[in-house]
Amino acid sequence: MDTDAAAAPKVPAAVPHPGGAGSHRVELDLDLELRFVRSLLELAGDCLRWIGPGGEQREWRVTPGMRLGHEAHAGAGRLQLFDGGTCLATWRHTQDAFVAVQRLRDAFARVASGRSQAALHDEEASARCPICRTSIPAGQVDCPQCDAPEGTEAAAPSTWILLRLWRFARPYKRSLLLGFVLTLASTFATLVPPYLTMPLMDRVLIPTQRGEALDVGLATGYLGALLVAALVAWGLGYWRTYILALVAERIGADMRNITFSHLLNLSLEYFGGKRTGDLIARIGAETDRICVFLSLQLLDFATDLVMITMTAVILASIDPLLAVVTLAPLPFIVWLVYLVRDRLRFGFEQINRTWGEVTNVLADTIPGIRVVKAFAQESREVNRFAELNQKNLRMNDRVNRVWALFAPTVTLLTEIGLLVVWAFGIWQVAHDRVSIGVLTAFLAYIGRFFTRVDSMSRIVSFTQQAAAGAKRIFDVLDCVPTVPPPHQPLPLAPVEGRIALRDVTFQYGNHTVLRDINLEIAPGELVGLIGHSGSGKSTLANLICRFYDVSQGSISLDGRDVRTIDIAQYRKHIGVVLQEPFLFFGTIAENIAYGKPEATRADIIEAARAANAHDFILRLPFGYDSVVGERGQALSGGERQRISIARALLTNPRILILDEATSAVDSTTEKEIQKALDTLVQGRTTIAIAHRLSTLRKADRLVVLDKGEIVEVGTHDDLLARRGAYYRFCVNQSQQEGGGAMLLEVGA
Amino acid sequence: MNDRVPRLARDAAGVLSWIDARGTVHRGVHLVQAFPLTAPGEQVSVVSAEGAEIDAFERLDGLDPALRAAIDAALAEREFMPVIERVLSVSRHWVPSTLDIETDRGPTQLVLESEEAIRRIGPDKLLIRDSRGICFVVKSHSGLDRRSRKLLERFL
Ligand SMILES: Nc1ncnc2c1ncn2[C@@H]1O[C@H](COP(=O)(O)OP(=O)(O)O)[C@@H](O)[C@H]1O
Ligand SMILES: [Mg+2]
Repeated sequence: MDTDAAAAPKVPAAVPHPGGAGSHRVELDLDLELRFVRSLLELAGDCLRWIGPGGEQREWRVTPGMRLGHEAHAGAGRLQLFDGGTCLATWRHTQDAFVAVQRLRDAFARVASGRSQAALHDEEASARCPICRTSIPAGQVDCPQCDAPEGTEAAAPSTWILLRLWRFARPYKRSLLLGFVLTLASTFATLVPPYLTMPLMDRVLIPTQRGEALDVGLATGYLGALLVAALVAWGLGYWRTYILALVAERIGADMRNITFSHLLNLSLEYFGGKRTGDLIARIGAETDRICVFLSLQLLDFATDLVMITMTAVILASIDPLLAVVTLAPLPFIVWLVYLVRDRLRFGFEQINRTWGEVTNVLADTIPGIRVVKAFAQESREVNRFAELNQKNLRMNDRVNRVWALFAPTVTLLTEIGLLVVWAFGIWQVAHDRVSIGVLTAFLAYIGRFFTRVDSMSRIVSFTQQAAAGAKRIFDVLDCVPTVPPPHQPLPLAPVEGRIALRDVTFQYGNHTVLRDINLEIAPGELVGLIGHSGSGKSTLANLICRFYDVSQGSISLDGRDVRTIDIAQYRKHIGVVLQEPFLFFGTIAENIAYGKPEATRADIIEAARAANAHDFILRLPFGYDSVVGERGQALSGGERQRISIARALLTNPRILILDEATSAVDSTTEKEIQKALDTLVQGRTTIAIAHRLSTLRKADRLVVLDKGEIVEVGTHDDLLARRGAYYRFCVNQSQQEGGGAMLLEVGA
Repeated sequence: MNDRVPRLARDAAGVLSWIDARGTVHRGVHLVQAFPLTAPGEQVSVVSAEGAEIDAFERLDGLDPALRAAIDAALAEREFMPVIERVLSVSRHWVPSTLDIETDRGPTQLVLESEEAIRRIGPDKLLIRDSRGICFVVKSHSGLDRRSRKLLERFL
């Protein structure tokens, strides 16, 4: 195997040829035996050229009958050149080259179909990223959106990320400044007492010891000054701590609010890939840790720093030589800090991640408790939890091992420092170079100084913890919604409800789910969507709700592309009833009024009546004031469904999307829900997806989807007469239902 | 026959009947409030023995006085939500705890099993479920006397 090639740095997979527009070059990274060997495939004009690893070349002239086939499986892609039915060549590649190969294939198809180079160039200029579907600026190869977060992900969590917290601190600039000034002042006040020991010693104590009369006035003067300094330090310290703690709490609250609101504005795609517990841990525990860091630890650190600097200056001004000796251990401590920092940082990052995983288990298991119990998997979940806790312990142990050694080492160094100062001081006093007073003052300062150095070194751990937390928060904040809001949203005129899909293609990542969908839905029309499970029905509904943006083509409402409409405004006109109705913790009334909190009680009751939910609600102990618990666990599936229908009814949307709203319930309940739905669809543009065809008997038109493509459109009778896909569907289902009926008979 | 005022009648066995505006008699009805906690006295429904709504009133004010009285009586009979007027003592300040209370229906004891048994309704109203399943109401928490308020606050 060619190890050199495998280890070679990653080259941008597609490099637009500097010369001609529309030329493509792809670096392929696998050979036909799937070994990591690099080669080049190039499309320049109408010439497709392959340059092998040894420099050998093959060329094909692109003719209209030619086609490039591209498929991927298990992480390896296969690109094949066909001329009519014969395969001329085959190439393999990994995921790295996937996007570039797709672009090459598209360009090839355009060349083969004989489109002009100018048109090619235009399309090139407005290329879209196949992953996130943002448009890629001309001349750029990689998507600015997909690549940016990846870059930050790869970088080690740097302490500098803490500087980005300034964004949250900025609104409190003044308080912070005041806090800092107070810190300076109060620190200064605490430094006065040791200074006073100098004259107290030399001018009061030593003369008295020598037999001179005690100067009472001078003594009380110094003692009074000591008291005043202590009181001032106390007052300033109190004020400072209070102000800064207040600010830190507010910064923490802002951070939580901003992160949460950012999170909620991210697209569904983001939530698809994230775990609840992890997100909860980020917004809950980590903002709190940063808050503690800002309010207590950073504050202490600042004080320590000021204190140490001031002490150093004072010491130097009293006796430079003694000062140098005193400060000698400092470089060692700095060096130690430098040594442990990296280990701690990675340790804390890992601890945070484990903590997120621990929360994940909770967030998974508690809502899924029924499944856990039904399959008697309690002990497994307990073990899973215990394992993660064990991992957490291991991580912590590793950090603590470093940390446990670090702190006493600093203490030892400071003790040695003290010893050195004593020894040097005694020698100096013996040679009469300094007075006893100066030495006493030095020792008093140094006592404080070294405790400060000691506590300051602890900031290393806290800083690394906070940096790890801040990184995880900025990970969320740096994420851009993949359904971008329009730059200049135009106000939405009264909505008629005409929906048009033109050449809509949609991919989840690289998996094409919908292909060339064309569909026009008139205002007030009821369209039924039919297809096997996985044929893309829900995806189509998601696109119409704009939970995702189309990869190609467009969706328009009343002739306006939905991407130019403000998302929140647009969704106000859409009511969705999903197969799995979600209820929030709260009363029934609150749940019904979720989309319209200002609804009156009479409105709520009216909606519930229309949804056929009123009667069962009245049977609950507190009627509409009953609390339904998290996810509505106290209600049956059909009851939850009817509440969600009432919720959709209350907002009175122009467009209604029913995604298998009745497939999870028994047929009696289905009938009740169906009655509710029949009221709901009156006069609204409705797209109904149903499992049971009987639910769609009122549809104006039926659309049959298969593997992401529309295969048939028409009324029930039309489609039956056509004896196509729909007909087979019907036959299939009536057979199944017949079988079901037979089963029932046997059971009875 | 359409202009007749509906009537609520009670037979010897105590079963309620609803005679609607058209004169049809529905036996075994009961009266239900849609919002017993947040808006008592509004949105009252007459529900049949089978649980289907027969009639509904958005509010009771302005009804025929005799009908109003009959409805109030029927509601009062179904609704058992003693109002806590005073908390005399608590066995301890954490759950489970037994509270000695005075209600509008006389003094009693309330066993509070968890903090979740206390539900806030609106800014000042509390609903407390005891271990027997009885719901006690505190109409206004701030309106209680100082001692009762202090005792309750530990559980909020
Ligand atoms: N969030 C997603 N990420 C990746 N693939 C998805 C996602 N949602 C659906 N798919 C895939 O898209 C296809 C169509 O799904 P869907 O539209 O839900 O089908 P259905 O017709 O049953 O509603 C399926 O193959 C499914 O695996
Ligand atoms: Mg689906």
